[in-house]
Amino acid sequence: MEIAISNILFAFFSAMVVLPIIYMLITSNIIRAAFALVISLLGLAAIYVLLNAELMAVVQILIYAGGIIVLLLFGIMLTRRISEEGVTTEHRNLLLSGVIACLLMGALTWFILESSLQWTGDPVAIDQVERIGISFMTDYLLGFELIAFILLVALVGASYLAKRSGNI
Amino acid sequence: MSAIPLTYYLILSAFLLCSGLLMVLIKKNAIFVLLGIELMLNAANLNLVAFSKFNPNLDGQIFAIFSVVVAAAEAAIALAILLNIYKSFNSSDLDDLNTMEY
Repeated sequence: MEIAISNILFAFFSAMVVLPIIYMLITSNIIRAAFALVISLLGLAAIYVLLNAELMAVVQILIYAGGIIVLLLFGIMLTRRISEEGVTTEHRNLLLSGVIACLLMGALTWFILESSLQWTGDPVAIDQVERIGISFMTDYLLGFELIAFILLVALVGASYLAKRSGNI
Repeated sequence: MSAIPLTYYLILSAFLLCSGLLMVLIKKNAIFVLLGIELMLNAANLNLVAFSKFNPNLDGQIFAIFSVVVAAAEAAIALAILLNIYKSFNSSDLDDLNTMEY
């Protein structure tokens, strides 16, 4: 039985997602964890491409790997004096939390394997970006406007909060 | 043409969720907790996109894009609050935040 190229790609990109996350769990250096998260998010974007979701992959790269990571790095650099106290942190409650997470992982894996879900229906058409745009402007117009307003309010509020902290 | 089963994507998503939860629980620093929350949101996105692969309406992808926008807003607000906390407590360890006074 030959192995399809998509299976090899899925294995590679899954490893690209999983290994940096394990490193993030082990390490106590915050900067290294943030850059490991970048690798993990890029692998997730590749997984979206394997799922025929190209728009979602581009959104993932632009907003997560480009925007949120930069915000988090600014957060690290503004709240820590890197040269003096370093950027390390500590772990706590390792045993109990590990047991809880492993139990949840085991339960979820068991349920997923037990359900044996399959793909159904026809594959999506190739013009999905156009269809998503049309959906945003017709069926989901109210949600689209609301999410734009929420984003505006959140960004204005965030800049107000950060500015006030600078004055005090 | 052998397609990758849906369950593989769901198990990957479950791993993202559990590792995000573990990161929220074990790390002392607030930035690490934010990283864990981002991982959990990504798990939800992966589920939505995986379930919408063969759905011609593409509803799942639209909800995933909404979720990404909410995650961006959440990260901005959370980091602004974190900056204020660091200014008043001079620390970003969650164990030091033991009072509501300002």
